[in-house]
Amino acid sequence: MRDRMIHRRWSLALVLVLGGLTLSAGLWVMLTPGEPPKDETWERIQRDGVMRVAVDASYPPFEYIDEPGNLVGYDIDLAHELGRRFGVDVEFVIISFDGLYDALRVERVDLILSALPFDLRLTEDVAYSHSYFNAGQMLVVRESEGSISSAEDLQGRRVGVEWGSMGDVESRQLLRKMQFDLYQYPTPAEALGVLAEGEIDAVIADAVSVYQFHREHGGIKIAGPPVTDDPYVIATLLSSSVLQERLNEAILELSANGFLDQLRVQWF
Amino acid sequence: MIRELLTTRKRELAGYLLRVLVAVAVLAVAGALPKPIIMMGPPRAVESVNGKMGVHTRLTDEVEEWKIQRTLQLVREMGASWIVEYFPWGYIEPTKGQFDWQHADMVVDHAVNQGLKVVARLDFVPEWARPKDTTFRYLDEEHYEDYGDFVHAFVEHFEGRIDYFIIWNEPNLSFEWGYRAVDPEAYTELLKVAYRRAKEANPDCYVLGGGLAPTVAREGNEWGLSDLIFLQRMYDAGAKEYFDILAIHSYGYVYPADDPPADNKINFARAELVHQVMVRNGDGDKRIMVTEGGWNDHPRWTKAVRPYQRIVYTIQAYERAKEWEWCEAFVVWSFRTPVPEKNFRDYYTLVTSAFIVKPIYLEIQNYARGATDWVAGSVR
Repeated sequence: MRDRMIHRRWSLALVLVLGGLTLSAGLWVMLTPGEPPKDETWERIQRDGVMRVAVDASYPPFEYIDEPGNLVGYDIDLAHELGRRFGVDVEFVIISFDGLYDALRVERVDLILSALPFDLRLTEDVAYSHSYFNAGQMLVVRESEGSISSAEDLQGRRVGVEWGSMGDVESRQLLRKMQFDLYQYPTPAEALGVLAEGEIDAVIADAVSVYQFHREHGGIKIAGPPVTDDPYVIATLLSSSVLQERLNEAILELSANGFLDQLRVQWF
Repeated sequence: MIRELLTTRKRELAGYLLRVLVAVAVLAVAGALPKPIIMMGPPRAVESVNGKMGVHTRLTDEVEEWKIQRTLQLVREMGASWIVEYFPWGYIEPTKGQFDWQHADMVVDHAVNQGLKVVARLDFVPEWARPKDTTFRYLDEEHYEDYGDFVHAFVEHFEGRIDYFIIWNEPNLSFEWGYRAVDPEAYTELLKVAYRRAKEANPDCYVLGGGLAPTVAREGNEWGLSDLIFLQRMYDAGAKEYFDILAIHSYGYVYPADDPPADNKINFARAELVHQVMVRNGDGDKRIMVTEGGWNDHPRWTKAVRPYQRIVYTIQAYERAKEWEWCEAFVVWSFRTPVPEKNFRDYYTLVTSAFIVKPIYLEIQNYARGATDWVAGSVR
């Protein structure tokens, strides 16, 4: 019995010593001023004064070549603003969508800013910024509408969609759990036009189409949260930790100070 | 004292024994859990007004058997008789002479059970058959016989289940030729090897040459070469006797299915120009299979059309394929992907990764079931 008591005391002492050592090591690491994170991409951008941005210029209004031949769009203006904040010039590298990630991997560019949807499968390969735009499907009602605040309120209503679109797909899914009359139109603009005229009660359409219609015609509003999410993000290499941090800081600031809203109004 | 110690020891031993027994029991139960059983079901047949309808499935990276089966059921229920599926050489023969048929067998058996005709695309060079730091599209002449061996093994293994085999994919694009300058003469040599070996395995099989991509790139372009020029050079190199059917890709981009063809334009009817090249080379009786094609309805991609246009154009294209007597089948790219690709390519599919059928699927299904109001009922 005495042996067991001694054994227990030794065990307790050992646990206490090991715990103390672990705690000390942790405090040492936490309190020792460490090296700032190293980011060769950020260093190169600062050294050369140029940030190389990959875009696929075939996605108006985010990035496209206008009639005079200029590269323009929401993302292009956003990239210029980021460059201004970082104190560097922006060099656009036009690459087809299939080659965007490869261009980043081989460091031909510093980042991808090209209406790029967040892709969970690639998060072990690249780092994504905060989302700067949600291109998902929205529920839209007339500006004066007060009784529809989410898709749950569509029971018994008249709902319009672009025939064959993802809004159409979503509305057919909703029809599995509730009843409403579904009307299909050739384009989202036509569906939204009919909505504005009061012939239907709601429309499910993609965000860009909704913003574009609102800018040109008004009379509609987004009701409730997005029906689907399709967040656009900026991709960098995983090793570009400083650049990623600066991008995230900038996106938060540009969202808070209304710059992203201005861009939306300007381009959609 | 000793008695106490012995008793304690016994208790400890009993404790250990009890834990081991519990662990064994847990493992036994876990190991005995029945695996999900996928019943093949009775053989089915496709019912359709148009026997030339096909889709390109993407089952290469689909792991779960029920998803493979469900995909192929949906293909049959839509009314498509043909599927093109990719069988990567590097997956099946990771080591020279050692073949893993498990996944390919699973896909093919389910397809055959659904009454579908399978067209096998054969490429993807394994690491052992190419130099280090090359892409899986890179195959030098030294390894043509290795590819031939694979083709022989594949055709032999699937005799009675697959009759159609595509030799390579889009060899007129540099990317698909291992980022080298495209080389119709070298491709023709590869085709000759593959043809000979396929016929040795099954003289009744059909060897499809090409898989040519539609492009207007001229001679000297670093990215590719016009399909029309590439095909002519194949003939000049003696390809005529080494394929039974020509495989081509035919995308409509922003043009309707009835948009007339032109040398400098990529549209669906470009297939007619390809056929003219065959006629000029005394090969007009040979058929063409469009093994990839169709339209995209991404909301903003500049090469896409509106969703309603995709529906109308796709059905019109199936109709045109029926009218083209030299056309064996029109295969739409693509039916479904195992996971969303999160880019414009998702807007080529007919069914989402979550197995939600898109409106285009339902419209095609109506057409295949004999509906005649698909144009009148569509929004134009």
